[in-house]
Amino acid sequence: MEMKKKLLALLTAGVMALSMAACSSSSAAPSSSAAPSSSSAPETQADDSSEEMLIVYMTPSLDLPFWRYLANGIENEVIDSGMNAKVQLYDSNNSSETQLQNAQDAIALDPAVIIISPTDSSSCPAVLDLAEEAGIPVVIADIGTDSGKYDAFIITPNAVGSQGLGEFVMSYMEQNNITGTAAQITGSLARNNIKARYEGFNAALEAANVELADYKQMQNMTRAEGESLASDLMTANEDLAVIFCHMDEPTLGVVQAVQNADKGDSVLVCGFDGTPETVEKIESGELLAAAIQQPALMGKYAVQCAQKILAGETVEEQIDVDTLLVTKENCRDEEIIKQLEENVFPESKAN
Amino acid sequence: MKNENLSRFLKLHRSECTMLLVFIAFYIIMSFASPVFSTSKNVLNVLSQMTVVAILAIGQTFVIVSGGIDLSVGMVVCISGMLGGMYMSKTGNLLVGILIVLGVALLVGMINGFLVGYMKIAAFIATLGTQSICSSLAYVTSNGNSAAGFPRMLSEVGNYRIFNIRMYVYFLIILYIVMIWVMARTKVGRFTYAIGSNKDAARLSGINVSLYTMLCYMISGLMCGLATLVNMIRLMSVDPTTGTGLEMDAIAGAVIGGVSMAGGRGSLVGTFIGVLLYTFLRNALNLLGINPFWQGTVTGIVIIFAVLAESLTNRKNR
Amino acid sequence: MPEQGILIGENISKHFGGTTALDNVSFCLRPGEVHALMGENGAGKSTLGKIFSGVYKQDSGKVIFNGEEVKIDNPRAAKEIGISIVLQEFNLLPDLSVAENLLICSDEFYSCRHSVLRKRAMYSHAQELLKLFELDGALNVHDKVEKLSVAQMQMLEILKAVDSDAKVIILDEPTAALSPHEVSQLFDIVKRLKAEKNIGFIIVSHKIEEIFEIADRVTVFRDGKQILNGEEMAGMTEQKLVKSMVGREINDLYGSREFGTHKEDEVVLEVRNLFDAKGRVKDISFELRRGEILGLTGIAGAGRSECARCILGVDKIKSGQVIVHGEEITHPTLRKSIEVGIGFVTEDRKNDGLILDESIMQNTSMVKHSMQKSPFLSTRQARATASEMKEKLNIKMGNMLDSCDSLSGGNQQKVLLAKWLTMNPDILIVDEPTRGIDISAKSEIYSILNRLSDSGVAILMISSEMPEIIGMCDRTIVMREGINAGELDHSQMTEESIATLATINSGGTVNEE
Repeated sequence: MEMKKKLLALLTAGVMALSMAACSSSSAAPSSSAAPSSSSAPETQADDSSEEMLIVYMTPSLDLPFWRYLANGIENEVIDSGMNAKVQLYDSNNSSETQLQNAQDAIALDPAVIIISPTDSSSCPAVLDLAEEAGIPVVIADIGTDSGKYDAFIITPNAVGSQGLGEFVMSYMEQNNITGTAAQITGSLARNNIKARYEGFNAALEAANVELADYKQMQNMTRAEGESLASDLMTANEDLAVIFCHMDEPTLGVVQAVQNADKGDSVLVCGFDGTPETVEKIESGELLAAAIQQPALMGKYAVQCAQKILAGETVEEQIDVDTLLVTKENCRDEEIIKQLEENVFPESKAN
Repeated sequence: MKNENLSRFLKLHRSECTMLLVFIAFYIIMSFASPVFSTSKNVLNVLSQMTVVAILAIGQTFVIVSGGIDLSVGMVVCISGMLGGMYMSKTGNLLVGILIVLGVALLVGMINGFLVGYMKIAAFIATLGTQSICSSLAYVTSNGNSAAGFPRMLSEVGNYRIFNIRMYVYFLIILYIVMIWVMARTKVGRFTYAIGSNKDAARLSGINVSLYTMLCYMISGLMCGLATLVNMIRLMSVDPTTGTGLEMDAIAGAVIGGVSMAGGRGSLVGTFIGVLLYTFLRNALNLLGINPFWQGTVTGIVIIFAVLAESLTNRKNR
Repeated sequence: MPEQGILIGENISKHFGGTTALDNVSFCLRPGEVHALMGENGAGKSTLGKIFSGVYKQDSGKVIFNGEEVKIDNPRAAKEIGISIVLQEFNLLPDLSVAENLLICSDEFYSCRHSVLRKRAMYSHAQELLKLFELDGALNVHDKVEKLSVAQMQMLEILKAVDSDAKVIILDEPTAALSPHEVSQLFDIVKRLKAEKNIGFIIVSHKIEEIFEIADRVTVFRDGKQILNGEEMAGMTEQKLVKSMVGREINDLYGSREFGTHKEDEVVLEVRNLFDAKGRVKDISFELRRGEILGLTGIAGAGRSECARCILGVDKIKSGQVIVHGEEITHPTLRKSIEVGIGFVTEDRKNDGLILDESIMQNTSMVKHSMQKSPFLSTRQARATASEMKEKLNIKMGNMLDSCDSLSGGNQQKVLLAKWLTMNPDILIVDEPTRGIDISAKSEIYSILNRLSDSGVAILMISSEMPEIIGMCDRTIVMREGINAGELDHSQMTEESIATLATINSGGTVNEE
């Protein structure tokens, strides 16, 4: 008898935990649409059904600030444009299996549009097939896909960005008479965007006759991994003068490694993407420069594309969003600061 | 008499029954919480989502019941899929590709089994080692690239639907029926229980403990191969991070279903219910639109509660 | 209650699920007496001990300690009021020393707000304690507990209880794993403590001989009911005690066996100059004939079980020959041994005999299954085997699908025997076949062994219980420190002759080990 009571208590507790989590989300999620629906309720009711529409955003991994900023950009644009819509996030946890499962779950909710940043360009077609079958339009934000049918693709021209960054670093070296080899700490080269960054930077190196001594692929994309790879590179290559790291968090780890090794003067660090901390490091001179993508702007364009698609308008199949080259010289410019705050790492307006 | 049989059945299968009750309660509550949850479309979705983990959990159940653990399964899915997939996309030969997938997976299982059964290395360490090796070899062979462009036939046959249910879901169910029978009515199955609950007694009954321990890991390897095929059917691609964390999902599924980490106890029926609950839970969190940041907390709490409920009923039983 | 007792239990009942472990029993312990609690396995004697020491809680009834009714919720509470229990599984810290085990919880040996250990004071106090009870020869304060013998650990447990000012000490089956010499050492301490410190002892046991030696009074339970209540041992007879425990008279425990009739029969097992790899078995040779029961005895650690394990190929052989039916088994393994018809009923049914979680049916067929060629198992056959064995060996079970856990010790032992009888062995090696089971189960096991030997099975019986060896064996080999100390015919066997061979080496000096 006693056992049954205990079991019952356990069950109730479990269910309560579940429903608590449900409440916390349902109180948070609708608030993203609360502002527009209260201000523009009559007009949405006039031109559309009263039903709130669902926009699904599938992100590869929320551990990386970049994807959080992209998600913020999407949510903010939904609020700013006054759409009667709710944005729901699905985290693939860097796993193509989870991504596909999430896609199945999302499609079961019959969303108006799916915005996806795939875990990998080869894993995207499986999701596109499902969406096509269900007749749901798809906007791909970054990464890209190997095949499959989609409605719009928003991409940063990575090669252009990293080549521009490389050229800036090369000219800095020339001006300051710094010589030596370069190294790259890359993401997974299975990804097209990473490959583009790798090649773009190499093009700048070649033009300036600087040798690429080595490159390392990261697996976890964490600060700790950046730190340990960079210190290994410095140990292995005495004459190393430049380290280019492909992602924002690990770049900060690289900066740390260079400082730890007391090589702040001889080894230049540059990075791709950025957080507010990245800009601080640029300002203090520990980080030479960064080519920063504008994830929030990408999110904004994705929502604008979605609106056009839903309204039946045609959209360009590929939309390029350039990187911002942030250096010590320009990082205090008002224009750059404004762009960073609006298009790179905005606060979420949802909360 | 009938009553007595029923009570014996309940006693013998207490943990399975507990989990089934938990699952039913969960299902009913969720049906009210989300209108989409109990639609046939969603249920079919969940069945297809659980297939890979459910197949892995079969192997994991054998290994855990034998008193071990197999941490390598996720990466075996990766390496076998990578090698088989690269071959398939290069030559277009589906059949040989499938044989490569199964062969590689079985080989790794055999190595695990040899290390644990004959070399007496702790299962945790041995399989952690092969996990790392498999992961690294997947990067080496693929040079960090992903493999895609498999013969269309793979997806067409695998995803073919009868009554709107995909082929691999039928395969999953048939596989479970066969393996439940193997566990109940063959030497491999019964000796796995014997070894897991009392290795010395098993050995002194004339059971070749090393051999049957190895067979458990080989079954786990074979299941990895089958799971890999389903994964390839579903994704039509393999990348070097494929399979990451699958071992933990499989272990969680088995343990939620009442398989004892100490060995000797558990059943495939329980494991199936465990994986079902686990997958439905993840699905429910998605359908309710729960913030992804919170999902891990909820999953963790449910796992702990499920296992706690099970251990409480067992304590009474002892 | 007119009786003046330090610990009194009145009308105590206890149920476990549907079974009644104790049915309205009463008990009274006087200060400074040794009171034996007797009964067969499952009679409830251990349960009462555990209720007094807070391990279990009674369903109804009162416990009165020192004239006041007390509620004992857990073993710590029991210890605080002065009741200590020494269980069969010791509660010691194996990695710590004797002194630390004795005194680790005593605040007086810590300085600086109970945080820094005063090591020297602790060790000298421990030494004094040992001296006080003349145990300084048997125990060294610096020894690590894991290195101690079972007897030494038991003494340490008792000392711990004494040091915590126990008025009542409960000993649960204290002699189960002790040699006769160690038993007498233990009893000496008990006698001293009861005389000098006026401590009352409750000894839970089913060994009748010991009870006559040590106890002042006896209480007997049978199936949870009280049969004898605090009878004085002075007027007690062995027969009366057995009858009250078993419920019927057992006249010939060992059956009526004709000894020495197999001297001319075929030799089925021959062992020549056997040495094992670890040096525990040295130069053992013997012959075992068809239908014969050969004893293998000696004190614990003499190498009896090791010898059997070598013959069967469970342990590695360094040199020597094992010859079965005239053919030598090269590199014996257990599977080879089973194939030529040797069965091995292991010593420890819980740890290496049975798989307690598994059903009775599965356990019965375990050996058969391990030897069959086909990978598929037939439930029908397993069911038939189990019910055949149930009939043959009179195994009392609820259902054959229940786990072996649900059986009493005696019935578990029968299942263990049954598992080996399924292969119809020519040779059966039984290691301590009656350890920890009650008298009626014992007599059944003996009659099974006698029946087997009548049908021509040769039996090698390993046992440390001398009455059992004398009652059952045609011949016995006595081992001492791995060697064959001598062989005795049935006519030569007495407890003295066996004990002499087992403990004294040829030089005539008493052996230390």
